[in-house]
Amino acid sequence: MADESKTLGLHAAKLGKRFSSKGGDVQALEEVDLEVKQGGFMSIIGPSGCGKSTLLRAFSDLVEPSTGEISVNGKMPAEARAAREFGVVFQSPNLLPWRTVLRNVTLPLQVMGVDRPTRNQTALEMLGLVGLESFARHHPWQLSGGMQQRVAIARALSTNPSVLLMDEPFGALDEITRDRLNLELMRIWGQLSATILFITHSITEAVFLSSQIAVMSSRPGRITELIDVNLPYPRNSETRDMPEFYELVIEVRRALVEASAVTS
Amino acid sequence: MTTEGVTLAEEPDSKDSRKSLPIGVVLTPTIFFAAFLAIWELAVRLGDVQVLMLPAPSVIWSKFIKDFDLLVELAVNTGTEAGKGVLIGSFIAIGLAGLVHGIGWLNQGLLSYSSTVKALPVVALYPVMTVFFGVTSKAVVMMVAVGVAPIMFTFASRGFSGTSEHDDLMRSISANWRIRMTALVLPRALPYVMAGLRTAVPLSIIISIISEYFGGSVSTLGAYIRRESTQLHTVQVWSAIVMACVLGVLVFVAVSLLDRYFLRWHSSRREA
Repeated sequence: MADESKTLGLHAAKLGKRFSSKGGDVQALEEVDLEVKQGGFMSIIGPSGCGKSTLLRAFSDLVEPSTGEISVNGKMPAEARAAREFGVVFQSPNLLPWRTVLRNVTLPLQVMGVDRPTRNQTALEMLGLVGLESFARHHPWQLSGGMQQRVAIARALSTNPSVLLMDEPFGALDEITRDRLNLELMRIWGQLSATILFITHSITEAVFLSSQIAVMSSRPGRITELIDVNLPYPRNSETRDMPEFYELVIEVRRALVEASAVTS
Repeated sequence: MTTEGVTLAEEPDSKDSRKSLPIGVVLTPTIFFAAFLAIWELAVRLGDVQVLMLPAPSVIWSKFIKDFDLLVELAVNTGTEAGKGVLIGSFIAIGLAGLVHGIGWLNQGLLSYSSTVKALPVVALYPVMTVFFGVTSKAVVMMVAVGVAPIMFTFASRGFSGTSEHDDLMRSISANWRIRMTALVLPRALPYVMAGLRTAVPLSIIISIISEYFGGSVSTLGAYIRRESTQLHTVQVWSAIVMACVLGVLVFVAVSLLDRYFLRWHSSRREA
């Protein structure tokens, strides 16, 4: 922790995770080295069950690694969690159905002990950021799946974290909604300059969003390739029409095929 | 134990059946009931049945109207006993379930215990209750509490034992115990508690009335029915039975309304 700037962002070194069960042990992660620089957007892509969610859960302190080292902004995940260094967006919107949209977004602030007027104001700002200010008084079930996931993003951003951990947040959405939310995420990221770790199994999504893509193989889950995405920011709908975009899509697909070949 | 869960409608939606009430749902039972009353009335009149044996519905009804104020007073007293019993029993059961829900073996032990108690005829305990509390209204209340508690414990315990992705959320935002309980655990258990109440509340009326047969306050439905029946005042007995039915329906409707209000966020309670 000598040099503060070096430790910002996400770091994993020789990270391993073994799940034990009656049916036998599963090596979910093996020797994973990963570095996401502060302000970077790293996507992790890999076949289902390759351990990419486990990796994200290790950063968010929901899974205890078996071996290796891991840090968020130079802190152990548990410390980082307590210090509100990161916000998590889950696979499902994970909203509390009995709370209004506003009170879902204020929840992390309530935990922090922020007084009600302040947290309502902050939550409304966050809802404004995702374009859902007018739905503050609605209940989650009155919103579409895409809107619910935007509320979940607003909630994760409410504590103003410097790191956003997103576990396949748009995986359950249709392609059109997903494309729209990708654009929106780019806009938000541009405004906040947060470090983002993003899990996905969509190649185009990974290429569109990321500054770097880590390709994972499964059983044991390990990172087989790192691909830099040198498309200019800010990215918008024209980005998808660039020839470089297609070249990268082809490259990521090739890397994924190779990663899958390792196991089969 | 799994069969009771069905009433929770965890499975998708039963909203189709709620959307429009088919005429048959209201009309058919009404016609049947009217026919039933008509046959009863005719049988009593044509068969020249003695009023001691079976009074005609019209006779019961006029007695019911005439004694309405008295019957309401009796029903209010019985209802109050039942309500107090439900409150005490539920409070203890839910509190206990909340306390032990993290402690596996204790929870399991209490769960099998409460399942057994549920199957027992708790009303048989009434004489014991009168030893503790005397032949008073309090003994009836405690009887209801004892009858209701195992049901509420079983449901509440199942409600508390639920897990969901929300637990990950709570951990990721470092929620303390108090917020975890109020924002997640209690609301998540609420559908189970309401399902428990739908069983427990009608049962509480039954337990109250049967307990009142054996004593307690004189101004209750059970005590009135027993007193009048020993004097062969059959019409009075029947009018009190009608009032007991009215009470039963009212508390059921009350619980259903509470259910709708508190669980309006629940997928199974949605109209549109």
